[in-house]
Amino acid sequence: MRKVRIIIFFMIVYFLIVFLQANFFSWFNIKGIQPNLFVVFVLFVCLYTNSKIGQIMGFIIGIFTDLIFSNSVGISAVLFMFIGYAGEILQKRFPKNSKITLIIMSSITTAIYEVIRVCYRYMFFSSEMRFLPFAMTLSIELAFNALLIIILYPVINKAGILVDDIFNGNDTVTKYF
Amino acid sequence: MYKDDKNGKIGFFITILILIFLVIFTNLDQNILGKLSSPFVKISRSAQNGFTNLSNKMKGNEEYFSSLESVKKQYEDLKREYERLESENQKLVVLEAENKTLKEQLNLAENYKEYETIPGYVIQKDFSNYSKVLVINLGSEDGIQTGMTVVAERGLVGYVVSVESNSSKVQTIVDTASVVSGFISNSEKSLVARGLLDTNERIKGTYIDNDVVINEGDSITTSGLGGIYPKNIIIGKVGEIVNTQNKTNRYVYIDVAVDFNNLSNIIVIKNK
Repeated sequence: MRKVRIIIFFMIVYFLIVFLQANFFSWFNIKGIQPNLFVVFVLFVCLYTNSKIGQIMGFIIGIFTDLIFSNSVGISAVLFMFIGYAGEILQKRFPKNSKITLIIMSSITTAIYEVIRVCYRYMFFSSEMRFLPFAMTLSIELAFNALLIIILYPVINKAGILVDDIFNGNDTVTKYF
Repeated sequence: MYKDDKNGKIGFFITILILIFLVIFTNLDQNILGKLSSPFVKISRSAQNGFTNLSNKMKGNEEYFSSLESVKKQYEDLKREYERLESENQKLVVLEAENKTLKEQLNLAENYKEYETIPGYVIQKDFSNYSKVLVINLGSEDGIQTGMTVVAERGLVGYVVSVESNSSKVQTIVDTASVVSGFISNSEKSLVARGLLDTNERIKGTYIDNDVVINEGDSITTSGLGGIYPKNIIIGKVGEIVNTQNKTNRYVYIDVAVDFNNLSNIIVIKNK
């Protein structure tokens, strides 16, 4: 029952992020560049629940995101599922209860997500691809994500411990010490 | 008997003394009487003033409380009036905005009166930093179909790439996947314009014929080639010409006519 409640809570957070991305960050941005909270959110779900739930959630969130925003349904679903898998690999190698590792993990997954998306658009939609503007945009996006993680870290950490306790019996601390 | 006579005499004299005292006292000079009576009068007047003030205050308080009640009533009335006016004001603000939107849509429709159009507005913008897709409030229920051209008051916005029942997604001309064939106004020669990743205000015009003389400020309109966009819709103006060593590779930056950062009202041109 608690797990169901947490999953419902995740869906509410997802729609809150949709609202923030579509409205708040359309004016609260850096040089017109928004952060990508979807990737951070999917990574969080994967790190603190378990890989299977993370991947399924990633897939559903991806489908929703594509339906709402994108003109090609499916790419985000696959990529968010991949982030779920990447999250599993990363959490085996890095402690998730650290601000720095969370920023690094989010940066790696965001960069992979955006590079694959841009390559996909280049291949299937003949989208224009220039390295320098892309690198610039990606750098700002990663920095924005990092800043938001630093600001939200206390909330992320507390929520993470709670979720971890429900899904994994909270072995977060004992795992590393 | 003697004793009674003695008491009677004393009584008689006391009475005469009282009478004399009264006669003398009442016939004394008024000033002297005033001076004599002054301390008593002062005391009595102070007391009297005190009582009067107290009495007046009590009376005033009554008036004060009764007027407070009426002020309260007036306040309640004014409050209700204020709320009513505020509500009316809000309605007027909504009507004003609606009026403005309708006027803009009317102007839009006037600008494109040669086409059959459907007015609408933008309900969502793409969150991604790498694609520039808009969601509009018109869908298949409004007769929207994939491939229809979307324009704003100042010029071309893009075309419909997918349709749901109540909304549609529009790929804008500033999207990096967008390709528009345009005419340079003074030469009637074509170029191909593509969106750029790092800006919403410019697109890049390439494949310009070698013999074309192109100047900054030249208007670029749709050529009608490619089958998506109708002819002669304004795309923008040439903002910068970049000449390369090989003339065939030269390109221009076109300042798009539409302000994509503040775009709200659009119309969809129905295919003929």
